[in-house]
Amino acid sequence: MPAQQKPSETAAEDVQIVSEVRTGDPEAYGRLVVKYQDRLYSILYSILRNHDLTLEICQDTFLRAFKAIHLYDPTYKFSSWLFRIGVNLSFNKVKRLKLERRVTDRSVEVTRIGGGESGVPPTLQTQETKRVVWEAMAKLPENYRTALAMRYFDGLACKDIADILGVTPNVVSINIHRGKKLLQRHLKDYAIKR
Amino acid sequence: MECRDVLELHELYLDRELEATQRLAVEAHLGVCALCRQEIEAARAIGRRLQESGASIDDPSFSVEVLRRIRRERAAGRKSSRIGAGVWTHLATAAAATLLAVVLWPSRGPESMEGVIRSLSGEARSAGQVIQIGSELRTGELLEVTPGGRLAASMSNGIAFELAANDESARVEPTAIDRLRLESGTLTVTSLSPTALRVDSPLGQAELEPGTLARLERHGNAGLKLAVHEGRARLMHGGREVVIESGQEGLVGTAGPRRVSGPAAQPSDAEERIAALELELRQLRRFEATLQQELFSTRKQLRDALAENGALLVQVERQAVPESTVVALMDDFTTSAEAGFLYPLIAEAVKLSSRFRELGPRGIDLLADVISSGSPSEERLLAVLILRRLETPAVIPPLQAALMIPDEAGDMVRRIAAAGLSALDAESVSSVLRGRFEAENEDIGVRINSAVGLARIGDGPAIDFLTKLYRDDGHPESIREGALEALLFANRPEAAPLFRELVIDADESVELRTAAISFLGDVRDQASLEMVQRLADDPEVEEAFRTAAQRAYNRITGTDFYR
Repeated sequence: MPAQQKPSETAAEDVQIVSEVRTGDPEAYGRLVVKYQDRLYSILYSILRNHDLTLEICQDTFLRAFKAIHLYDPTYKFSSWLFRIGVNLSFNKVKRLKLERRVTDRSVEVTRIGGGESGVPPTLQTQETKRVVWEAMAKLPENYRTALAMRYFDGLACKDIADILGVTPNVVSINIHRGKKLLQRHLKDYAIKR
Repeated sequence: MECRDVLELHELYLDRELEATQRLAVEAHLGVCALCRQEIEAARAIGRRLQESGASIDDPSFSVEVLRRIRRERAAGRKSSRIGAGVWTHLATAAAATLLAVVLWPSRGPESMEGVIRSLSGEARSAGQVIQIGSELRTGELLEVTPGGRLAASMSNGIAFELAANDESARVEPTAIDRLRLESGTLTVTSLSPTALRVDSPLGQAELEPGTLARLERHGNAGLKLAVHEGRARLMHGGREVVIESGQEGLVGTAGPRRVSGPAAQPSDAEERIAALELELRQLRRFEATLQQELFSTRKQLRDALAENGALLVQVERQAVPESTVVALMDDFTTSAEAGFLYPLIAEAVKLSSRFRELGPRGIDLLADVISSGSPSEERLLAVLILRRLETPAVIPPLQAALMIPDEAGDMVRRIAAAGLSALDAESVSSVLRGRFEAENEDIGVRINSAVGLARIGDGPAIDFLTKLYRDDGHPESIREGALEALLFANRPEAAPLFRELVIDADESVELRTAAISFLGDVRDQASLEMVQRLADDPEVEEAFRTAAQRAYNRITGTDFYR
């Protein structure tokens, strides 16, 4: 069970902050940024696998969300809404980079995805236990990685993840199960190799 | 319930999202299956490891930088505006910290209104800058239309207005979330905003209740005239006010507010006709305003639609329209998540298309605006998906335009435009389609979708192209499937040789072979008659396949030999 399943006070607190932002206190937005920056980063890194690129998209995500704050519907979780923006931006980025490669055949930008970091955020390079997990994660298909990241780094429910990714909750449940199973296998391989 | 189902549904079980029967089945299974319990325990351990492995940005300046960017963008927006520029200059000498705090968060908070120009004739400026269709509008920016011109705008809070200039220029300024200041010209406004809308002028004010459609006119110093077409409004001046009901007109000037006509006044024939036409126009405007609102909230709606029944709609969609497009698109949308981006759009397009159909040419104009005005990719995609569903020759020009516009999000808009044109009367668009189909460096999806239209009119090279695409194992499966669906849709006898091969290819799926044999029946392929009859009588083949063979036999022979 994902542990960070958020209590409703958190949601209420977010709605409160959003309403402060909407009613003329944009600085309150900083509190949301601080609160969600790490979770957003973890999720988007699992898609983009490049630190600089992820930071860039995280910033864009917060900026976009701020600009569209009047469209946010408080009956949904703020985090789901924010992550949806982030995930869409990331997929668009990946797609654009792929397209650029196809059109220009210049792979400079493309190599940034996953380039040189072997799927591990630089800040975790020295933390053995976490590094191993991220290395194993990097070997999973993208849809497994993304679902697992949202489930465990933010504790989102399957239906919220489904909502963000535009698939059914069943698909999410299946992807999480299969992702964990693959992950288990990769981690076992790693233990054996050691 | 089998082990696999239990394990795959387990996350939903944890979320308490399973129906009672499924939940009980999972519990019952876990009660007796030690293997599953073991697997779940192992998965739980993995979950715990993942939970503890979250990364952090580890950069204390990140949030500061985000806020700085927000301020910078807002500042840039303000700087170009009339009022903003003034404040900017005024405070330029103040200390930098104060500057950030004060200038960059000026009067935009709860009091701001944002919108976009939807249509335009003549020249218009906002905050002194020349604007075009698609330009953004903001609170505090004076909007001006040159004499004889006219513009329509939709605001994010549900207000839609049209500003027309007669012999002098028309000027209006959104001053707050619920306020417009009319300096001159004629303003026709619909407010679907939940709060009342106030229109100010130096000679008096009008307050429109939510849902009111009204026309306000200012001519120099003569006064402010208000005609309420639907809903209710109040005219106010110097502490006095009158209520103007639907169908009434009022005037406010130096003599204060008064009603000048009411439902009792008998209109002449001509007036009656004008009134009827105006009413029709007003209804269209209201409808248009609603649609604009929908476009504004597209994202949320899209996801909602998906959560509800996205998958189902996709099925419907795939069957109702020979979606070579969707299949071909899958190449670009390699992960289910990315495909998810398109599916809800399709669901939304299905939903909106009937309303746009009712709207007629105005709806098409609106969608054409969205396509040509540099709207976000998602909106353009939605517009083109709707257009291709309207099934009228009137969508040809906007689809042609869409086919020629490069899109930053890839070739999606163009692929769908090509599919849309191909589904129409292909004769009249064949030269455009041919241009795209023959361009060898063109995106493969656009080429396939252009080839469909040509194949429909029996174009040999297009049919050959699609056939070759399907036969070439070197292409991704999605491309090959797209080509095959295209051929099925084109429904031309020239493609029969390929389908004859598919019918007898035992390696192919029964579904595909069934589709192939139905195709041969549809094109009345005499050459396959013997084969079809053999299959129709073969007790060994699958029933669905045999039935399809029997139906095909009847079609080819024009009999009802098999009942």
